[in-house]
Amino acid sequence: MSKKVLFVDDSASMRKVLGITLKKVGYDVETAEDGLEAVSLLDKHRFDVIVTDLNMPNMNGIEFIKSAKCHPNNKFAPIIMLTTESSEEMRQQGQDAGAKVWIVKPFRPDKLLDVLKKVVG
Amino acid sequence: MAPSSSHVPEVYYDSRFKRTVHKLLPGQYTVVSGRDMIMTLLGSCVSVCIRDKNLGIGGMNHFMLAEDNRENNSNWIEMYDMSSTRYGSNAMELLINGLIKKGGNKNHFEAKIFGGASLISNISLIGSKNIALAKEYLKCENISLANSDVGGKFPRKIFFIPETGDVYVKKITSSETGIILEQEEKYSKNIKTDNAEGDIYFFD
Repeated sequence: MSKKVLFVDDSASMRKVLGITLKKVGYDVETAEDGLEAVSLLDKHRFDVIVTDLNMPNMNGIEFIKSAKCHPNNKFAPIIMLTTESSEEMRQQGQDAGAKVWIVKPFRPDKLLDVLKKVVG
Repeated sequence: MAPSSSHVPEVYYDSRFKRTVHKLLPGQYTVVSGRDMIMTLLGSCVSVCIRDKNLGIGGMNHFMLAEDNRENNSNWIEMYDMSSTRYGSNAMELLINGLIKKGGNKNHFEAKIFGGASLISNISLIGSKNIALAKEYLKCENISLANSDVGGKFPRKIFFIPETGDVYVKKITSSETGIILEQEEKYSKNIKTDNAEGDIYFFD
């Protein structure tokens, strides 16, 4: 069974880049364009890992992580933040909300795959 | 290291426009509101101006893709493993995020593209690659392109007034052409050695 990844990013370009990167190596990918849409996907699927952006309209990445961590189906899914933000203050917020890894964009696709492998096993 | 696009642009007052001007250098971006305006000098680099039509706020980036040997016939999304592509798309994302952080709504965004001239024959391709990436990115993000003044053989000096949406493209003096060539050469050397890669932090 291929591992199921949820990718949340308001940038359509990033959703395409991630889609190509992850599908190439056999991940099953669902995408959402903001936290609200992502929460609705949590109800329908059980994800092996969640990769999310931070700055998004409607519901941002930190708020989304907090809801994912309380979601019955998905509270154990490890969370990777993939964002242009790099300040220590923001990283602390991410860690407090329950993120496991913080990756600063731009990212190298091969490095992201390494991180996913490490996190998902 | 990530691209050095976070440096704060120099700010001065322009008595002709009667506005505060933020002067962008290659690799920088900024978002302004109120009466402030943004200016930059462009050779083969590209600047994208994005404005929220409802709020009257706007921002500009200024970037160049590092030279690479691959043909430009495939979509940039499939070339994200190249540092040059990552660099350009990140410049676009930083600008869009900057606008959203100031309350901008993507549905009200309007873009204009400037620059990408072929100043020197041996880097003539760079200008057109820069323009192509900016256009494809905007298309993918569904942001309408209101206007553009790109390509050609001559450098440009542009003034963007987000309050009104106006962009003035001025002719360049010969001393400014020298400055542009010097700035862009220095910048292109920097991005050649920059792997366009952010840091990774593990929290446990």
